[in-house]
Amino acid sequence: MKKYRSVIIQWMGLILVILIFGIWSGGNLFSKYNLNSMIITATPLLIACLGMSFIFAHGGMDISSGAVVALASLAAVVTMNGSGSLLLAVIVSMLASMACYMVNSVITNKFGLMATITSLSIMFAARGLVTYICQQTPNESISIASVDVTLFKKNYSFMVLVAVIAILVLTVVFNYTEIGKGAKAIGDNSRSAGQNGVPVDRTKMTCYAIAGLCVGIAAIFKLCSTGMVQSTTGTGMEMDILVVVVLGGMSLSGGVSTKISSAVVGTFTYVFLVKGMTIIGLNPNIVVLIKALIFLMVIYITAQRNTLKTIPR
Amino acid sequence: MDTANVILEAKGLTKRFGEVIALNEVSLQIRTGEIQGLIGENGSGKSTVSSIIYGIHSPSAGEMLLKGKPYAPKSPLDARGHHISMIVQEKDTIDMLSVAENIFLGDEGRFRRGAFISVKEMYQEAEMALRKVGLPQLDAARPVGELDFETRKLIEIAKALYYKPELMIVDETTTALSHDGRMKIYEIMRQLKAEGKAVLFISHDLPELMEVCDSLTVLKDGELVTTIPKEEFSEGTIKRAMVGRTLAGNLYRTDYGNRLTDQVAVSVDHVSTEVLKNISFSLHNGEILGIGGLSGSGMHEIGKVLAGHIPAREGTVKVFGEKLQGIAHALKLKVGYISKDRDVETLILNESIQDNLTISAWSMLKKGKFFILPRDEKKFARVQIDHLKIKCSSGAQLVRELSGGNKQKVSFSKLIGNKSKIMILDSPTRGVDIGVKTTMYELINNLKHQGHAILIISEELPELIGMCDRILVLKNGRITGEVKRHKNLKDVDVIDFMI
Repeated sequence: MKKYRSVIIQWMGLILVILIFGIWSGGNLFSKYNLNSMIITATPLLIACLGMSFIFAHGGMDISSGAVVALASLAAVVTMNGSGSLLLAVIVSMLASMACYMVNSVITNKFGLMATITSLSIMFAARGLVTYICQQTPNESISIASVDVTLFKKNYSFMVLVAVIAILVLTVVFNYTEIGKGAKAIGDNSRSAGQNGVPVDRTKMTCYAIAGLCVGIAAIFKLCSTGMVQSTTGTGMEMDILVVVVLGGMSLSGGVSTKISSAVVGTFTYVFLVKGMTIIGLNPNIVVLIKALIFLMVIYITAQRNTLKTIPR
Repeated sequence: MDTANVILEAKGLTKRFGEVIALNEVSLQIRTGEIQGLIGENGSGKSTVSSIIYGIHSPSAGEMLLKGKPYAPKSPLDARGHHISMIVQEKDTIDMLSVAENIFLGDEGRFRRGAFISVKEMYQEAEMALRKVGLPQLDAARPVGELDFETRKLIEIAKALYYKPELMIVDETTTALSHDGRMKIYEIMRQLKAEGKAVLFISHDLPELMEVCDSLTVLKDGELVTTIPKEEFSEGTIKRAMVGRTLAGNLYRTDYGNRLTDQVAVSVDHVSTEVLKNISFSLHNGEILGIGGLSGSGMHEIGKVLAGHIPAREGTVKVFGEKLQGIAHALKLKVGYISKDRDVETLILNESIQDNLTISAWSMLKKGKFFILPRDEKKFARVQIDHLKIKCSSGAQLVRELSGGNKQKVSFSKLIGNKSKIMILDSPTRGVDIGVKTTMYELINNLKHQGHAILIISEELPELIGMCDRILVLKNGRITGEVKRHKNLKDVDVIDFMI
């Protein structure tokens, strides 16, 4: 029972959010329109968070995801408009995003830098590149031309299907393979993990590759729903991801207590919360402020929980 | 009872951690001008007593009187303010800070001159404090990280003494120290005693306690068994009180047959590293080979080279004829290693016993090419927990909650679980009580008879002499001597090669 306490708290939080805003909005929250719009927001966010869980599990931190989404979207839209192939664009998006994350991982491992700092420079580089290229165009943006993207834009059952597959596959990788288990062991004690035969650098790199892949998929959904890329594409995504996992009760220090279900619960809570606040007519700027407060509060609670006292020798 | 010179009196101290009762109604008195020993098996509550007195934990029930006045420290700082100091078993200094900064950590304010700290004055005071522990030549400006373990311990003692403790708690500090280091600590304790101060000395080492202490309090399973005055000290009495039963005579193995198999498990050929110089030896199947030496002799580095953690700069290490390349390769060749720093390098304290046991056996547990199923992990862990009788509520219990002896059992179980053929055991009984020690020695002996090749690296000579077929002695990175197992082998025969 005690073991599942934090999990229960997170789910209760989600149910509470749904109930409060469901009643407050007079049931409007569950209208077809609102549900569909939430699916559009939730799908890319959920997939990105699932992938990022692998980075958080091994004690890493990444703030480049928003900029990487922009860069991957850019690569995808250029491919799409050039070749006319949606499938090719999807592949290019995933590869571009993975490339960013692999560069991050290689630099971090080779030069022993802090992962956060490396991701900061990746963020600047990617964002800078996107801004520069967009500025060269007449509208300062590149739109999807003549390719049918309904599948990623309006086909809600397809989105739910992709999300469910992502949850299933990544949960298995996270909990029942050497990659996920290794990442968690590294998060708890990388030295000991290494001496017990966990290939530390390789595992970290695999985690970054998985995160990259997921962010790349998220980018395609984002691109298709907005229909274009501009310099502000994806901004704030990195913070949204942090709010989501923290809302889901994930400890950002990594280790075995990292649960991938946090990404799932967190995404739902986040999406319902933001949508609910919008429906009841809160000023969008106040919504951002509330996000910040929630972030602080949950971090505080998480930090409290981690200073559990233990029995001395 | 005479209460005249009682400095600290504890009445009915009880400490619960969740459902576990770590300490149950313990009452004791510590007197001035006396060194009181505290002994008990791992998990008996020794450290709980000291951490309550030092303000790390507060008792669930019971009270303490310091010089007759109620005493309930809120923090170690509070305890220090009451002139109570403690030296702990593990490292308690910060590597990046200088010696002086470590000594005055949290109390830099005493050197405040206006808005600034007078560094000069701080260093002067630090050097004075260092002189008291016999380190007059040590530069107080050096970062502590550059110093060896023993010097760091002495710095902690210097810090403790600086605050003129009326009561000093020495918690299992000596186990990790060399002979010289121990002698220094004994001397300091005796000096405190002569000055009319009180010392509470916690240790596993019975001979040391019997030599140093004036009285000895025995704890068992969180309860006070008895307090024995010096006149009644005898190994038998104390051990019986500790264990609650009579221990069978011999701790070590008793056979002296010296026959080695000619199957070589590991051959080390002219290996040099930064520390080691031209080391050659071979380890046979069914052999227990000991490596002895003083700290700094390079003995611990040998273990790391054999386990693939440190590459040989020159020369080769061959395991079953194959040249060793790195940790993963060593594990594949069934080389198991338990580090001296078990809590940092071998175990993952924040994870469960099950996770700790399975981590080095993932390749064996894998279904298909990728999947490790919880059902298999649980079964695997269950077998190991039962095999070594690890005391725990379940495999899901965190390793950090276990006592030292049970932690070491988990380390051993990892090697047995992943079917290691070669076992490199660095300080296998460090911080482990007699009960578990006996189990370990029995186990090592059994493994030998099953044909495992075992390397014991130890600073405890009796252990090496009692267990090993051969002992190699190291000094300054070189092998200076080899001693064969013999009934009449004495400490001095080995020490000769060390110094």
